[in-house]
Amino acid sequence: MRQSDLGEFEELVLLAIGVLHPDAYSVVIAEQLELETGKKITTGAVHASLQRLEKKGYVTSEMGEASAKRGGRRKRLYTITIAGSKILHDVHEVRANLWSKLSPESLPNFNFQQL
Amino acid sequence: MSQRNQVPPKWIDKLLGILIHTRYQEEIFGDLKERFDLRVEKAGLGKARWAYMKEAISYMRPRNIFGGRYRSLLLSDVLFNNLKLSIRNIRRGGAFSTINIFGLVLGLTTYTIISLWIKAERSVDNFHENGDRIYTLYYSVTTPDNRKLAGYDIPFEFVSPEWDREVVLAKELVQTVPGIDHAVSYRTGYELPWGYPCTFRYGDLKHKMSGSIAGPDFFNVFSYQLLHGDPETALKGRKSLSISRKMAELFYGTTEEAIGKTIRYENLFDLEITGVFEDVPSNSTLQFDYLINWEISQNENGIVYSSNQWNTFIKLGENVDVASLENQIRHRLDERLVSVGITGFELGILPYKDRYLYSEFENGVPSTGRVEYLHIFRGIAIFIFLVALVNFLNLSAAQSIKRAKEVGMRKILGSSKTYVMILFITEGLMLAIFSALIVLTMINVLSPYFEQLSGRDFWATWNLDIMASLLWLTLVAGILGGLYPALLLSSWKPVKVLKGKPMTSRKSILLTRGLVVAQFSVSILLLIVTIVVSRQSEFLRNAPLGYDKENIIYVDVEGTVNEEYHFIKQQLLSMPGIQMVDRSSEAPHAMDFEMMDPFKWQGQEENQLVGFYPTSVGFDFMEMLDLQVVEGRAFSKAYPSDTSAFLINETAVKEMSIEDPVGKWISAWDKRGKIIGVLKDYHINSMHKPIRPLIIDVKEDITFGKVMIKTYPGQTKKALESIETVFSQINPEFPLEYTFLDHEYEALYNHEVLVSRLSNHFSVLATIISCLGLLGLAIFSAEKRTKELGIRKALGASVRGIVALFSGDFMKLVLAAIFIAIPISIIALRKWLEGFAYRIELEWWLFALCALLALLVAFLTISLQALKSAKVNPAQILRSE
Repeated sequence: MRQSDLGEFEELVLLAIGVLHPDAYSVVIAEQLELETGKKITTGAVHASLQRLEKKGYVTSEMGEASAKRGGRRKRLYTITIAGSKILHDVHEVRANLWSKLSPESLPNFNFQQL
Repeated sequence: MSQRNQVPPKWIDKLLGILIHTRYQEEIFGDLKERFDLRVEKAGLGKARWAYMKEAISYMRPRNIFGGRYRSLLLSDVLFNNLKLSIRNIRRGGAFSTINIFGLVLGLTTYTIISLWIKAERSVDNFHENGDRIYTLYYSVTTPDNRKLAGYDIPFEFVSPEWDREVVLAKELVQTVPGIDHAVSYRTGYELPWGYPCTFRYGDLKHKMSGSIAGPDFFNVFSYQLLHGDPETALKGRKSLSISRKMAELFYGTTEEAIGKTIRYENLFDLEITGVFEDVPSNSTLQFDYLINWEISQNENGIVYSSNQWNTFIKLGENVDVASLENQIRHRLDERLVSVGITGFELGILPYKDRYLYSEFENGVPSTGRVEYLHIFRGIAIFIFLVALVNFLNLSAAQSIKRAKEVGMRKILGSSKTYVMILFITEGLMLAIFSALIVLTMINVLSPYFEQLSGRDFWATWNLDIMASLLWLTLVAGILGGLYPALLLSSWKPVKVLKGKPMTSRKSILLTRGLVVAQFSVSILLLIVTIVVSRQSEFLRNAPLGYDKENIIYVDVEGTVNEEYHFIKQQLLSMPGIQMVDRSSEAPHAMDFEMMDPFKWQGQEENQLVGFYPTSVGFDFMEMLDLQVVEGRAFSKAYPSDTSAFLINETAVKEMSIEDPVGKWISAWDKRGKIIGVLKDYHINSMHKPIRPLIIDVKEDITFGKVMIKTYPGQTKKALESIETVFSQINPEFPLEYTFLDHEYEALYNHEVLVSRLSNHFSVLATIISCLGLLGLAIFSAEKRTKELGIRKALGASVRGIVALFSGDFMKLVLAAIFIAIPISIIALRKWLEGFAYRIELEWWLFALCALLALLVAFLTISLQALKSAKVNPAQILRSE
């Protein structure tokens, strides 16, 4: 069903929320992901993704404290729900299973400096 | 950088403030601000501001805009429900929906067709590779009598005062001005005043072809496609000739066969075909079937030139500073010209692609021309679209008022304002999209007709731009057409509506009426403009020219025609259908060759120069053209000395500022003689140009010019047979080609004819659209006032009285429109007419006629509906309550 799937970007956002807990909100998530992936990531995209995750029930949100950094505006803080935790574990399990069955020779080496 | 400056662009914040739903504003603005500050630290202010814009765009999603509530409305069962409702409503609308769609279709079709035409016009000369680096030279010079002459064709005497046929300009520019990669001289061999199509012969095949003479760099500057041959060499070799696919196929069957062949030119000498190019497209102003090498043409006598002027085109290198280059060229010829006494001469450059659009010079600079028509038509297109849009809005609104109860009901049952809006917008969009589909079909059907009318290939320029603009307009019309009635309806209090209280507010009535007035103003304006434009072009074409242009055929002097002229004349005169035969060195309806230096006269003041238009004719010329002599006498065989005499026109006398010209001497080049008469002024070119000084002498032995043949009225066919017989006998090397003087004269007005035809079509269209709007409103008003009219009838009102009452309301609107349109049209038309040397007066009856026409059409439209409602049986209407 549409409700249960998790896109690649959504997965990253969800993980980032976990990493940044309990202070996860859109700007720090975007900054974190930019740091990790090395790609430009707009806050708008993260924001959209968060809204989607919330609608699917993987995260909940509440308004946090106002801060001077944000011109006195409050931020929306996100935490992972039980459903969110479960789907992250599921996804991880699927991947881990697959990795464990993978023979090293089947992956062409791309790190040429080690050769 | 100070802290204060480090703020994101304000306008974006404003935009977001409007667009973003209040529910999300706080967190989004917070996010943006925080991220912006981070970016300023990391990447600097410029990049951060740029990123801010991108960020802002990434937030503009439906959820953030609508607050996440109406997402389901747009994309779910409700949408289907809306679509279903729309279709039902449109179908229920019947005649009303048809009128609505029809009006929008007409408007959009007109808009698109005009856009296509404009696009096609703009494509002229705009298809060359690196076209932005191709420039044309133009010159301007102040004449001693203080007129400013200017043009793209640079006259001989300025470029090469020694009168040798060297290509001073093109050659010199490439060699001496840095930044110019290529330069090429170009002139045609077939245009007036002297040119004509030239005869080529290969074996027994003889054809007349229209071609030009161009410098060897021609194919390096322009990207006319070479099918065979190399751009470097196609025009370089001794006696080399490049020909078009058409010419190659005419002579050799295929293009491959043509290359390397030798072909005879004008029965004078042989040329070798070194290049074959694809036929020149119709959107090229340079039209030629062959090209002769310029430098060879300088050394070979007998190559046909159309005038003593030529074009010079240059191709610049990359990244050349155009302004400084122009400065280098501007006074390039001064030194040489001053030495022969010419001053005030300047050269300028203009992007080649603009040459067609900016065809007219003001103060020595190309400043206007065809581009003006493009602006006018762009304006007409927008006007017509607006008229159609107003129609669409008015009709949609009018129709939806019938649904006030439905909307009231919906609101009571709990539907929101937004939902009602979405419902109406869906309906508007459905109508608009349906119209757009019809428009596409209409354009398919109509475009061949308009292509023929305008002489341009529409499909060559048909592209995504035009589709996109059609789509945009459709969407705009659809959304506005839904929004307007929605806003109108949803603002009413449901309770009042359901109680049956009067629903139309004063404001909305005023708005509707205002729109109708605006619409009719535009239509009346277009109507007046059309009538004036077509009257002016009619006037130009039919105004008395001062000579008789009917029944005259002319044939070029070529081959043996000059030697055998007297024999030809004698032969022709003995044949049926032919009234008179004479000759002239220039086509009398389009004289274009002006000179100053060679003319001297008795009583000339020092340094006084007059630009004369010289022509040499035979003895019967005056009689043939029915020219009037105001002083002295015409040429006559009775006076053998007339071969060294001159006639001048009234304008010449005025500009020479002499009195009693008859008997005084005048000289042209090395020929000197008496002025024996003064001709009444007649038009020596089209009516665009004022009459200029004219000087005529008798010369029956020149190798160029026209043999002019006057036929008996109604015997053209017989006369043509006679001409055919005589010329094929005497001049067999040259295929006969003849031209009708009156047709040629008409051709000088092609552009006016086109414009007046187009505007005819469009003003009729605008009027139809406006009337549709009026009809729709009349139907609507009649429906709204059914009961009122019923009661009036029951109380004894006559049919006539009701019709009068009913139409009176609308006629007031049309009257208001008339009073708006007339002053505007007077101002605009005065300005337009100023551009003509000979023009019509704006007469009051013209405006009265248009006003009357508008009133009549409006009255007919309304009274149909008024009659219908007046004839209804009141008992039937009033029974329901």
